[in-house]
Parts: sequence; C-alpha cells; structure tokens
Amino acid sequence: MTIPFSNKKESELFAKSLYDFIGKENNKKMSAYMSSENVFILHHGNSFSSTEDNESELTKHSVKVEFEYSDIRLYNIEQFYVFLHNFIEQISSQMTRTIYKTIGESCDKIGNVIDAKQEKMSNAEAFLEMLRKVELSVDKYGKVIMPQIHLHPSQSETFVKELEAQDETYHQLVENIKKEKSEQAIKKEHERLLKFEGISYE
Amino acid sequence: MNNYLLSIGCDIYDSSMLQNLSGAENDASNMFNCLIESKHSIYKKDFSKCIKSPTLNEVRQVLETILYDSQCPDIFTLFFAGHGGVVDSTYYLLLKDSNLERLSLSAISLSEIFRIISSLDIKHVNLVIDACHTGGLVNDLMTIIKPEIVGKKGSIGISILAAAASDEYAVEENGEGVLTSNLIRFINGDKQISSEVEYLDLVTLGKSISNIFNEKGIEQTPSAWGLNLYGPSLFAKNLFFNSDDSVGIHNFSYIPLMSTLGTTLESFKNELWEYYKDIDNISDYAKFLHLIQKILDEISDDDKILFIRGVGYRFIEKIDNDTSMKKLELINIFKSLLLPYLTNDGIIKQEVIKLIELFKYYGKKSLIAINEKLELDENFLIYKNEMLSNYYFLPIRISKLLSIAAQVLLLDTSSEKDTLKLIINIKKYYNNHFIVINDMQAPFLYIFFKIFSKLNLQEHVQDILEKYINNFLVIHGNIAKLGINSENTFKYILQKHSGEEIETSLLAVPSQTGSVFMLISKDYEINTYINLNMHYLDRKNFLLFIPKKINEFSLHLIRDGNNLILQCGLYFWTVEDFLSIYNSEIKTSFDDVDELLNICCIASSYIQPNRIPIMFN
Repeated sequence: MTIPFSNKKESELFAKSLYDFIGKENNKKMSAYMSSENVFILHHGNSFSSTEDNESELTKHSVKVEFEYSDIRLYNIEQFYVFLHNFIEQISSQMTRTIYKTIGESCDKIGNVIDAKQEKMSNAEAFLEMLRKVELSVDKYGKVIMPQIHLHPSQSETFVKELEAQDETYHQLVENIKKEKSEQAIKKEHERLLKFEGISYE
Repeated sequence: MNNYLLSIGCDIYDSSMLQNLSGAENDASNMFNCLIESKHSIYKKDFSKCIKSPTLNEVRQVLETILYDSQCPDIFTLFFAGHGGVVDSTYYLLLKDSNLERLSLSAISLSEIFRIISSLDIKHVNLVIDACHTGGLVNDLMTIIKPEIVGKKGSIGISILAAAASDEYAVEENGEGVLTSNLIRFINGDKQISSEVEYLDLVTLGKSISNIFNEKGIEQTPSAWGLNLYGPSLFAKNLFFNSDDSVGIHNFSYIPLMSTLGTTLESFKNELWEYYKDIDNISDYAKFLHLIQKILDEISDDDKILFIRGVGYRFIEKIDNDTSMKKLELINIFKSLLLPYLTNDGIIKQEVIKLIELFKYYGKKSLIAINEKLELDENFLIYKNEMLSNYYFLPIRISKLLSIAAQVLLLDTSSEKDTLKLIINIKKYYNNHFIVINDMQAPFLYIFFKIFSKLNLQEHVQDILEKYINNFLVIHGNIAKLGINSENTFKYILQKHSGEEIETSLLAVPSQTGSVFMLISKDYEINTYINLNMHYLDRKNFLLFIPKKINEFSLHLIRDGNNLILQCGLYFWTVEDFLSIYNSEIKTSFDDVDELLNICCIASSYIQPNRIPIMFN
C-alpha cells in the first residue's frame, strides 16, 4: 500500500515554489557582491569563457539541510522557517566564498596582488598601491566605476580611520591617481567604441 | 464476398429413443441473429437460412438451394445444434425424423456434407456443431483429406468447432448450449480475444472457449480443427478490431469498437487513455468526472450501464493494489456519474447498489491495510519525496482520509472497529494536523462529522472537531481557496505563519468551511463555545450552495440553486442566527432524500469539493 492522496504533482509544485523563493532570497543577498548585469543564466556545459585562455569551470553548490519526520508529524511550523533560513544562509555563504576565491585566483594569475604584510606596508600605503595597480572601467552610460573595497567588518573601522588620518599630500596623490586612471578608462572606452563602424567622435 | 450461413437447431425428435431437447432451436436462432442481423455481418441474409427441427429431406433441400441454386459461396458456415453420434466411424447430425437404428438413411453424416462442399468451388467452410460426442467427427475428415480435394492452390479450407470430446456430452444451460452461448459472447463483443485481427476464426475462438471451460470447470471439452487454412479464415467480424495503430478503446475498456457505445467512446479515446495510463497519478478527479459526464450525456441508459461495466470497472481494475484509496475514489466517481439518472427502480439503481458493494469491499480492506501500515510506520502518511509540502497537504490528506473512513462506516457498520482504530492512530501520530488549510476540506469534514453524529459516535471525534474549530478561529477563517494554483500553496503557508497579512487572492472568499462548522456544531453541542469566540470571524463571508434538484448535485456546473452568502457580524452573530437564516432559505425539501441519493451526493461532494452534501442531515 502506498501513501494515500500523495498529491505528487501538487507537492512538486509546492517544492518548486519553495526553491524559487530560496533562489530569489539568495539573489537578493548576492546583489550586494555582484551587479545583476553580471549574473548569467546558462543552460548547457560545464565551463564558461570569453576567450580560449580564460575558460573557467562551473562550480556546483549544494546544501544539506536536515529535516526530521517528527517535525512534520508534530506540525512544527518553526522548523519550516528554520529550514528556509538555513538553506538560504548556507547557499549564499557558499556562493560568497566562491566569489572571493575566484577573484583571488584571477588576481594571482595576472599578478595584481599586494601582500601588505610581507612588504611591511601600512594600510594607507597598501591602498595607494592598490589604486596604482587597478584598472578602472566605465559603465554603459560612460561613467567611470570606482573599485569596491571589501573588508572584514573587524578591519573596516581601523582601515577607514587610518586613511582619514593621512595628510593632504596623501589625499592629493589619491585624487591624482583616480583622475589619471579615470582618464585612462574613458580613453580606453572611446577606443573600444570607435571599433564600431557606426561610431565616430569627429 | 458471397458468404452464406445455414443454421440448424433440432429440439424435436420423432423417435422415442431420442429425447427432445429444449435449447437447440434457441441456439440456432441466436446464432443466426448474431451472425446475420448484426450490422457488421459478413453473411448475405437473403441466401442464409435458419431451420428449426427439420427432417433429413428438408436439410438436403435447403443445402441444395443455398449451395447450388445461388451463386457459389466464398464462405459457407454450417451451424448445428441437436443430437449427434458416431456409428461405424461416421459422425451423424440427427434430425427430426432420424432413426437410431438406420442412421445412414435417416441422418446426415459429416462425410456427406464434406462430399457436397468439396464438389463446389467454396473457398472456406466453417462447421460449428453443438452436439454430443462431436470429437468423433475426426473420422469423417478422412473423406476430405485427399490430394485431389485439399492441398492444391486455392483449394477448400475447413474450420471446425466441435462442442465435446468423442466420449462427452454437450451441456445445455438455461435453454441454450454452453458452447453456443460462449461463442455468441465473443461474436457480439461481450468478450474480447484480440483487437489486432479484423475477423474472428473458429480455431482461435475454439481455443478461447476451451480455456473458459477449463477455468470454469465445465465438464465438456470443445475442440477446434483447421484444415488447409490459408489467408484469413473468416467466420465473423471482430468488433474489437482497431485498424488504427494509435490508441484504441480496447486499451482502456471492454467495449467493442463496433458498437454504439464504442463509436461514442472513439471520439473521447485520447482523453480517456491519458487518464487510464496515468491512473495512479490522477489528482484532479473532478476534471475526470466532468469528462465522463460529457460522455454519459450522449448515450442511452443501457449504454451508461455498459460504460460503467466496460470502462468504469476496467479503470478500477487498473489499480493493482486492492487497498488503494484510488479504487474508492474511482468508485465515488462512478456513483456520482449515475446520480442524475438514479430513479427508484431500474437498472441504474441496481448498478449503484453494485458500486456500493464494491466500495464496502475495498473500503474495509483499505482501512485494515492503512491501520497496519500506520502501526508499522508512524510516518506513513508523510509524503517523503517533498517533505515540506506536507505542511500544506498532510492536513488535507488526513481530512480526506477521515471522510473516506466515515463513508465506509456509513455503508458498512461492521467496519466500526477499523474506523475507530484509524482515528486513534491518526490522533496518536498526527494530532496537530486537525487544522484547516484549504476550503476543499469543508465537504470532507462535513461528511466525517455528520456520519459520526448520525451513528451516535460523537464521543470518539468530539476532540477532533474542537481542534478544527479552534484552528479556524485562530486563523480568523483565513483558509486557502479552492483551486488555488499549486505554486501558491507554498506562498499561503509562508504568509499564514509569518504574521503578514495573507494576500486576499489566495483566500477562500466566501468560505464553505465556516458554514460546515455552523451546521455541525449543534450535533456536538459546541455552538456555545463558537458563539463566545465568533468575533474572531468578524467580517468573514460564509458560503452554502443550496441545490434545487438533488439529481443535479453531481453535475460539474449546477445551474439551478442558490449560493447563500452570509457575513459574520452583519447577518449573524451566533450559530443560531446562522442556522435560522439557513433554514429559512432552504426551498428544497431534503426530508425524503433516500439512502442511495444521499450516498451518491456524498460521493459527488467528495470528488467535487465545491459543494456540501447538505441533503445528508
């Protein structure tokens, strides 16, 4: 004898709706790290690339959240919410780790890394060095996008205080680098756009 | 093609040594009607004959007329029912004036028949002999097994169906020979051999009939012989033949394609097949019921019965497990289907009674099985593939189960012990699931609690009703609507328990469930408690559909009737207010609704939960 009135199809749709909800909640969390324009939906394959030399494997994320039969038998509705919360937290934390890991690997590959400890640099020096190394980009409206700084919450206050405590010369230097990098970014964007036959600035 | 039939039945014998028979003439008439009068007959009526208790001369004359005076037949079929016997290795068909002491002169031998037909240009001969000792005709075959008669291209083919072995008698039952009556069932489509061949042949028929005799323990051994067979050995049209490679109605029914009902079913075959092949996963029975209602609208009462027997039972049989609730749900569908045609007498009533018996049979088995399962596995009612969906569906599943158990109890009070055991088991393992989720639970709960109050068993379920009512009050009557999109069921659960206001589009407005609690509360003396807490349901609209004609209660859309919608805090403040308005609004008398009607109405609202069987009161 099988379970009576299983509502198999309806239960599957219930689950689909639940996972859609989890997906949306996860996307909300991920939008803090990544522009929605950079979120791609792919339907096939196990890797992605723009050119042959930067092919990347697709990373699988999985979450295991345990649920007791007794919670269902007792209609323990709190566990329902605990399940949703744990699921969303686990999947988003996994994906966040993957994002940092991927960025770190890319930076290592092109040498765009500053090891402040080894070089015995202060935070302010490291920041300046980072600005020098980074290449700025331009958004679809032609506006320069400034880089983001991601810090552990325990370090952020010290870091900001140290930068604010720097003298006028330091700040001027920062502004000069930003200006120079911005001009470079705009110039590069112009050059890129000029490759289209239908665009000219004459 | 020129196909002729000679059907002979001999009941009357002049000789005192030969006992008169009572079924041979009937057999000859039945066979003639079956093969000739059918619109799918392959025989020419004008050149075919049925003769009853003829003399030897009469038979010879008719044979001469059929075989020589008309155009030579392509197929000639001779049916004989009467006495038969073997003398000196020759099998004789005994006629009215046959004399046992001089059979060679007074009866017709098979050798003579073979000699006549072998001299003609007949392509195929069918011989059906429903008489004693017919196995003895094997000797006569020697007459025809000669190189100049058979063997050459295009020479005569012969099929023979004989009723009994050479040492056996042929049995008559209810005024007809058992061989003939079984043969007729295959010809007229009561029984099916195959749908792949366009014509039935005697050898295949003989094997099937022989199997039936074997299974039923009939002490008679029919046998069939085929001689020089090539191409199709035509005897009768196969009413189940489906020339199309696609799905045929034989795939899901016992109805012959070439019958009136078969023709109607042909236009619904794809839809019916979709349900049949996936019967274990049907969840929307109301849709299935609606489809069949459309079919039943088009057919006669006799065909409605045939439909239930030839399609309904086939669907029920398709569910392998005898303890599956799906069998009971299907039976409820067929009970609902017959409701519009149910009268105080007649064939429909008889069929409903049969369905009720079937429901009782499977119902009791199911109750026993589910109790055993629950005792072995306390998680049995949890759908394990999608665990979280149980927060929505398990309370509904339980109320459905309660409803089914109560229906079994109503029909068969001997199942009281098993029903109460089930209730104890559910209370033991799923006590927190007596909650209302969707308005579809309204009829399930009405059926359950009404049956228990009718049988004076309230004490066993009083606490369950209190739980349901408390839950309904706590959630302020905010239950999900009937027909809620399955993808929104998650949303409903999420919103219901998150403290947010539930989207109105997900809710039952108005709801039947509140009305059900009003209607049953007095039976359980819980009306005072509800009155004290009625303010939790302030501004909620309660619905009761009151049908005008009971026989329309199972229709997909009941056009004639009133939707009574009463808002709490506007039209009523107490259970008594509600009941007073309800009673004044009832224009139909439900007092004389008989038991069968009530049972069919209960079945209808179980299958289509957008109505409450208020006639069951």
